[in-house]
Amino acid sequence: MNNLFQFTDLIAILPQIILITGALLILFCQIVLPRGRVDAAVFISGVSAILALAISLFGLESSVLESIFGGAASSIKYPGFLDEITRLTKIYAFSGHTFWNPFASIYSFAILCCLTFVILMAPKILKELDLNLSEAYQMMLYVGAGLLFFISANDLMTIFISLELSSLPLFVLAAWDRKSKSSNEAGIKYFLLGVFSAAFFLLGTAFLYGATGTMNLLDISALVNENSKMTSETISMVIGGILLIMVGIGFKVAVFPFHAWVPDVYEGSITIVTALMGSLVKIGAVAVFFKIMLLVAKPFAQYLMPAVVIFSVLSMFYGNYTALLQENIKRMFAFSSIAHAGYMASMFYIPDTSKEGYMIHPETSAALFFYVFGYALTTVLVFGTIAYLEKDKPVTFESLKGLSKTNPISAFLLALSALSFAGIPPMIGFFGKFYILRVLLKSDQVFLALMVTINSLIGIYYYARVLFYTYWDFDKEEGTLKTKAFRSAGSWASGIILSLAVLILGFLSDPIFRQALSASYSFR
Amino acid sequence: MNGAEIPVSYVIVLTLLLFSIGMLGVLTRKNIIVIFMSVEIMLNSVNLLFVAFSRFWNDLSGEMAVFFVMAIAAAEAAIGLALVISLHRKFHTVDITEIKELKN
Amino acid sequence: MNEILLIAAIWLPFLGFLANGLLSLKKEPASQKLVSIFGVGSVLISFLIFIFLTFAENTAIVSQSGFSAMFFTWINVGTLSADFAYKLDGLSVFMAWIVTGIGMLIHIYSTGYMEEEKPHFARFFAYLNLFIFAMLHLVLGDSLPLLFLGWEGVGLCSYLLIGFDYDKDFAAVAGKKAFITNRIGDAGFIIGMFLLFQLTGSLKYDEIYGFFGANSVDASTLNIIALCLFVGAMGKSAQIPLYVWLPDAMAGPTPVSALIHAATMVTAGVFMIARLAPVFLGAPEASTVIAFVGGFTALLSALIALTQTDIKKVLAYSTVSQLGYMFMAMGVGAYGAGMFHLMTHAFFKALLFLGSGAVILALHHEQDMRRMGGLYKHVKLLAILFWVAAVAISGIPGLSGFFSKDMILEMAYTFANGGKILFLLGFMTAILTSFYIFRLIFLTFHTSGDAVKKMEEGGSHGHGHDEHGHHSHHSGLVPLGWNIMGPLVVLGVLSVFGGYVGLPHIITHKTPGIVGYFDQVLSVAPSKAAESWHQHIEGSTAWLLMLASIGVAFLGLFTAWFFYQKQNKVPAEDSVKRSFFVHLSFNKFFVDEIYEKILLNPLKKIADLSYKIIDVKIIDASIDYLGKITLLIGSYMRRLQTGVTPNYALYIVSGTVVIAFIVFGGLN
Repeated sequence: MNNLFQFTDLIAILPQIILITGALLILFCQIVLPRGRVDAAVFISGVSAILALAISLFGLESSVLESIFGGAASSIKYPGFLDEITRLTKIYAFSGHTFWNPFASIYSFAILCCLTFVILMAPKILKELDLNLSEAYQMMLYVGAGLLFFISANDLMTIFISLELSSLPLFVLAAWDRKSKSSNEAGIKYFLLGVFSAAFFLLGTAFLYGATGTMNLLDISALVNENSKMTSETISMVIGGILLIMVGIGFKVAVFPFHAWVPDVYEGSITIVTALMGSLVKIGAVAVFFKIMLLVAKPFAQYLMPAVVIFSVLSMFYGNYTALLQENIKRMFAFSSIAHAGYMASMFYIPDTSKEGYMIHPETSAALFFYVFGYALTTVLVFGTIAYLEKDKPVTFESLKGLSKTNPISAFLLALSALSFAGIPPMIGFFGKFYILRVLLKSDQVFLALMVTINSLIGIYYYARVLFYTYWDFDKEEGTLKTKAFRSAGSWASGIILSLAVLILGFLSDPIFRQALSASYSFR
Repeated sequence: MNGAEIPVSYVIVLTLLLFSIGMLGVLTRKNIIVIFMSVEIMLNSVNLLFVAFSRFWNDLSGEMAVFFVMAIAAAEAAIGLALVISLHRKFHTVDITEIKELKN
Repeated sequence: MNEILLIAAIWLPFLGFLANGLLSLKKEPASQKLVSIFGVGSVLISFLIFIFLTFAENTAIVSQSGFSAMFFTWINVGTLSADFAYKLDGLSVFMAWIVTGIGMLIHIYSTGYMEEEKPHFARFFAYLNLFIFAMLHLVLGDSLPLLFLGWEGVGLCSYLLIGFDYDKDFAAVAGKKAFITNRIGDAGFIIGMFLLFQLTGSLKYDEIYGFFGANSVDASTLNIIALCLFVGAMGKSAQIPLYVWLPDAMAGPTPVSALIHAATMVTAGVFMIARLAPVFLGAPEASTVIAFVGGFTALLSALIALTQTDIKKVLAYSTVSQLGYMFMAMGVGAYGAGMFHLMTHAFFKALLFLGSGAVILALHHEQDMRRMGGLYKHVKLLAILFWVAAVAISGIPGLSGFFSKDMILEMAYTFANGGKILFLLGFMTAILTSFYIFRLIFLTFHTSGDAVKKMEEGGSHGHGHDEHGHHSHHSGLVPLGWNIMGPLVVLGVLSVFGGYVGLPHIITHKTPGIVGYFDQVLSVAPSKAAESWHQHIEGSTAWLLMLASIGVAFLGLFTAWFFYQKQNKVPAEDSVKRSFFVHLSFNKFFVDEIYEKILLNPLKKIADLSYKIIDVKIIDASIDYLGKITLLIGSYMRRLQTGVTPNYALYIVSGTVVIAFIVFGGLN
């Protein structure tokens, strides 16, 4: 151990390094540049997000392009160290504290996609709100880097630190609009509940550590899977630890009993920050939840399964039922995000009872990834659209009337994302639900499949309301929202790409699904 | 009595007691600063547990964790206090039950 | 490289569609030059690529597996996989030439024909390009899902183009009629497709052919599949009883009638039968049904065509009738003859339609033949081209139609199951064909009447379905530009010489070229597979049959000349009472009315009843209560969201405690 770490260790966290470097550069510009700091910050954050995105692509086991276009793409030679990355599809870096494998890279890819779109959309909105400070972009990059560490962490302490690294900037971003009461309220609520649930998470890690004597997830996984080394005390400590960790991450995913912050914080924050919270955090939290369940919870599946079913079913029902009566659009989508968390939670740890010994169905991870990816893209699209719609007042259903006349593009995008959320083909949301239902049925979970179906039906009601209000011809009235859709080039670009993705990605679901499937074997 | 080791289960019970005290503080107190202090109690109770387990397993990573937790608690405090100040400017109160504009 | 060219050739029209579609969204009409360049250019390049590929990949194309190109995976579920993969083999290259070649000519023609339609010019070309794109998928796809995609795509374009003047009621209604009638056919087609999948386990042609090559399948299974598929063909290719949409489809602009409703789309059913030759050749009973449906369709629509007065309606029924011939050929197993007639028909019918379009255009959108006549003096070239097409379709020797029609009639005559009856149907149709087409010619171009004079007198009478209403009546004919006459001349040349690829057996003493070609390129050599269906006839009988059909062609010509030129008869006005048979024919045998009485009205009654009782009283009411209960639950649930942070923390704590109890309860 002459060296601190190896060069490959740095490659394993290259996207994170790029994001942090970008954030530090922004900090540097704030000191050096007298004027134009914000523009520099926008530029730097955009470039570093896109760069990190490109890097994360190389980690995929066989590149996505390759599976779409067949052999032609595989003949491309990547220069130098990038080629190194593609070879190192499964490495554990920093003495096993983080890893770089297809699982990490596919989720990183999803997170960085959403981060890029949010950064592209943000400047104009923040400028119009007179909140366009370069720190905002710095915070966004920290959130992204924190979540990337979160996903690739292989160590309980690293998971906790990266959880905080992603949460703390978000607390600040939630309260970004200092002049508004609701933004301040959102910030303090998110903060208090966030640190409260983080304390539960920390207690859980302490129990896991106490039961096994190590913080390394893979080591813990190896220990708990060995029956001979487990006593009844350690078993209850591990289960208690997992439960407490579930509380901490369940708070981030927003499953039922831990969901309460979601509507208030989503509504109170400025909308582009809501887009960030609704997409990035969801992806990261879902990935880590799944990772921990997969690695640590396997021997206790039969005990933990009721908990997962409760999370899942109650979230679906609660989210859908409360969303029915909302008047504020943001709040409605916030409740619907709780329902979606329920759909995702159905994939968290559902053993395949059609097989012996509580095996997990291999397609679970892929279905979960496809669902959360589609959900996150749609979320960025819908909150981005709303962000450009609202002017001083929040958007309510009442104010959506006649929108298709005054602002056809926003109306179309709202309708598109509502349809996708509702799971109407051929939108991406349909394929997500399709894969989830397929896994549930393949592993004989008829009850959950039924619950997902019933809840999708309830969901259609309030999603259809969006369409109804935007496209209804209320006595040929002109709409009240006269703002123009997407008032900057960046937001146009991301709006177009996102809506195309929502429309088309479902048809390309097969290569993505296969990619996610191969990622699910990362831990073998 | 001297020389007899305190079993780790005693520390677990103490930790859980401290943790519950902190939890009850969060649930019952109204002042945001006090609530935040309760959260700190929760974190520090976990620190105690980490030290105990570290001793139990003769493994340093538990004690290392304590330092990280302390650093994070400090970062939380910095951000939390800033938020409280900003909040006080708008609401003129630090009573958490008064701050409920966002609700159904 | 050539794979990429093939994909490019198929997707270029789509780019044209996108470009023109975007241009049509602009508020001001887009530059017509630009639209024409995109519209014509994309199809032209695609045609050139097909010519190139035909020569460059010659050996691959005529081989059994053909030349294929994979674009991307579309669906991959279980054993069902469908790719955007294309197969350029002997059959599809034949169709690709017709689709892009004639398509290109009609695109050029349209630049002239649609010139006045300034606000809709770009939209029109966008639809046309989309049609070519869909049609190329139909013919070039390497699997049934892709064929079906194209099948529905051309249906969509047909609907859009029939209802092109969507602000006119009759056009919108005709579009709907076409769409709905086709849906009935599609249902059959889908069922057939599923049955075929169940049987062979694949929807890829190569695998289907492989399956039929390796296994012998019970004819009764194949009969059902073939009949289901044929129901699809009935809809798309306008056969009894689903032909009723095609005559109404003439509401669309004339180039559309030429391209979609004569030359290409309506022949999709014929193409599909050739594509799935192993299925149909293994199903003799179903094939007999197809042949007879074709024969009766040919006769019935020829009878209707006799008395129609709208120039486009005559041609529409003529198309249905000629499609009947093609199905007759496919039914008796004469695939070469059927495809041969498909090609010659594409030439002369496109020419007839485009020519009639030119007449309509020249006469300021007059379509009624009673208001025409004597046009020969004014548009000599057009009249000559019309004569060429008429001679071709009527079966006068030397021109294309003679060879293909004669081949079909001979094959029908030798067919073992009721071939004589089939021949009789075809033979009677041939007399009628010759009569109605020359009736059209005499009424339009000759007779002593003068269309120009009639137009100037009765300008207010224009009821033509292609009428656009927004231009005043000038005196004199509208001049026809090069972009209108050019394609006509090319089609005229093709109509004359197109038949020489299939010189009859009795002249050359060899298998006709085109029959040999299809024997080589189709997976089951059709003429060998269907050999047992036919009886042998003497050479002298063949000569006799040929002479007879030549005779009736001239008979039709003479009768038409006698009535309409010599006696100078003009068909009576609509209100005049006609004799019984003429009345039947003029009113299209009341098929539409019968359908309405026996199908539509009962269905409407049932729908009405089920709406009033089942829907309103039962379903709606229960849904209403369900909705009310749901909202009630929601209103209770939302009270959890108090806005007070410690409450939220309490949820977290109590949730944790409850779940811990459940989990640890299970543990002990």
